[in-house]
Amino acid sequence: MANKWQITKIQMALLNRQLGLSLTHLRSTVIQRHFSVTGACSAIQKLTRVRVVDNSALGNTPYHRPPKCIHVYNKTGVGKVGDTILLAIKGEKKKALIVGQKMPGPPMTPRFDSNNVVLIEDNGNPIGTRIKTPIPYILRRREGEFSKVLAIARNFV
Amino acid sequence: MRLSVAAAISHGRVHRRLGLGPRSRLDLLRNLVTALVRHERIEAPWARADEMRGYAERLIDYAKLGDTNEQAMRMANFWLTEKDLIHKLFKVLAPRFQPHPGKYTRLLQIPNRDSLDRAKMAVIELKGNPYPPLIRPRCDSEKTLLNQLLKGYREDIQRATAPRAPEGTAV
Amino acid sequence: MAAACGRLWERPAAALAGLAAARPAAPRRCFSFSGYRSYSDGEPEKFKPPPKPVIIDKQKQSVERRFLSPEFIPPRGRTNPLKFYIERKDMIQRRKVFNIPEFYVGSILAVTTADPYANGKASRFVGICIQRGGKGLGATFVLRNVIEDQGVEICYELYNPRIQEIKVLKLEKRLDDNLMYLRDALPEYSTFDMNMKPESRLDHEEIPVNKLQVRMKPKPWSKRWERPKYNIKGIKFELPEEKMKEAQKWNKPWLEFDMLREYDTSKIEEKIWKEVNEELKK
Repeated sequence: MANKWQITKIQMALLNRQLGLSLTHLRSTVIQRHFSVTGACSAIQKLTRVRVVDNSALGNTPYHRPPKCIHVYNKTGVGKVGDTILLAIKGEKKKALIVGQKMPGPPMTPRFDSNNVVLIEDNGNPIGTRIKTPIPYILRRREGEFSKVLAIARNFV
Repeated sequence: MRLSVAAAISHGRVHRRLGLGPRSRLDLLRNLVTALVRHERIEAPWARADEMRGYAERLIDYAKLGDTNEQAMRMANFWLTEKDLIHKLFKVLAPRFQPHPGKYTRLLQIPNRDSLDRAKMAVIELKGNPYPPLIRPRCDSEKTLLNQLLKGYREDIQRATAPRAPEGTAV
Repeated sequence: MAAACGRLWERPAAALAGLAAARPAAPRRCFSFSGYRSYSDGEPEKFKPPPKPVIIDKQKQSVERRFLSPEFIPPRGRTNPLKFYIERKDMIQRRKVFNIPEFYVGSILAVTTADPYANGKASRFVGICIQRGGKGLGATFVLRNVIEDQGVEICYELYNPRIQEIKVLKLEKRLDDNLMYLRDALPEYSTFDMNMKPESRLDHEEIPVNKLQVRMKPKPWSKRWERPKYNIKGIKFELPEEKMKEAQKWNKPWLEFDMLREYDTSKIEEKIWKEVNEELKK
């Protein structure tokens, strides 16, 4: 760890001299933070960062800002599995369907390590063509609404 | 410290907050336990004595395991700040309470403290101590003149009311 | 509370050791008894079947290694234990019709549940048990696995009628009683094959303790596992020295001397074990 630090410091000093500009944004990626910068983001609400799990180009190309939820389409404002949310992704607004959440749901349903969403069009069709990560079976309760999303899913738990 | 949460009154609190924090609370009780083992009868604020009682009894329970038990020795080492008392605990108190299953101490309330504040005070003692007993057995006052007179009066009344009872039932 | 749990687990071990010491007497007595009878018949038979005492020995051992599921032990602090008694009746009722095997935190289980939305109306999940929670009928256990680089946990209710089968694939213990830190560990430590074969083991063997120390992801963790409150032995901490020293600031060394915090369950355990065993045999 200390070794890595020193190397980055030396590199920075060199680069500073060469380019003559401060590289604080570069350093911020290297620093290993020992505290969490967000609270426990288990519930999906506004400004929660989410993970896009389908294979659409929009969700998988890297971008400097992670996709964030900017609206939840239900009455409580807290998104659960099966809710639709509005995402801010790469400077665009896109609708998405929650297919997995960190927050423990009802008993005997899976809890995932990340908040997973699948991008959908306004009419409910998924943008991607395949979902590899596991999808909870309980989504099939509303089979009629999500049939096109469920059709591209591979794994269920 | 209570072992159970008494319903609806304690609101989940199981022990009193004494001293300056949890560490200080145990230190304070530790000094009381040490004093109790040394003097076998001490005066203390009632709340502290009540709190300390459980610890003193548990310590004797541990002492009954014998001085070869490592855990018992550690406990004695912590709870007795004056180390010469460890010998007394294992060699005097443990054999004394060996036949008894529990309740080694007696807690009695005494008048409130005058000097400092009006704190509720108590005296706590180990059972089987060499001091004179705190509660003197009540002397039998049956044979005093006044009680004999009262007894005769009561009997007279009973005799007077007894014959009236059957009349009442007849009507 | 951690101290109390530690004691809780120590006690059965001591009882086991005591029983193990007493064990050799029983088969020897059986053996001599059979020999005595054959002599009393008249002609002593020259050939004696040797494996017979061995079988008796095995049965004895399997009986003696007693395991009481932790949800039977009631939490302290209730003066009237009627609720636990009633719940115990229901739990025994369920155990009579459904085999709930012995398992520990750290064992690998396969659970089949009835699920109206699954293919074939049943879904199967394999994972490591990272926590056992709850007392009485509402007891739960949490299974964890990593599928397609996605950590998945399912909290099962032990007495839920939806559960069709619980199968122990690998019976072992870990160094800790709660493996929630696997969420922050590298994913390879909680990755298990869904088609794992069950490991065979003899009935009378001691439960092996897996002394694996896991390596963690870099630091923002869900909990500060290095703090002495959690008292975790199963993590290989790769933190700088001063961080580990700083964590010791939260150490509370006096807690182990607070005698009224201890919860000695050995007597309750003995009583409930007897009650449960009698009921199950009926």
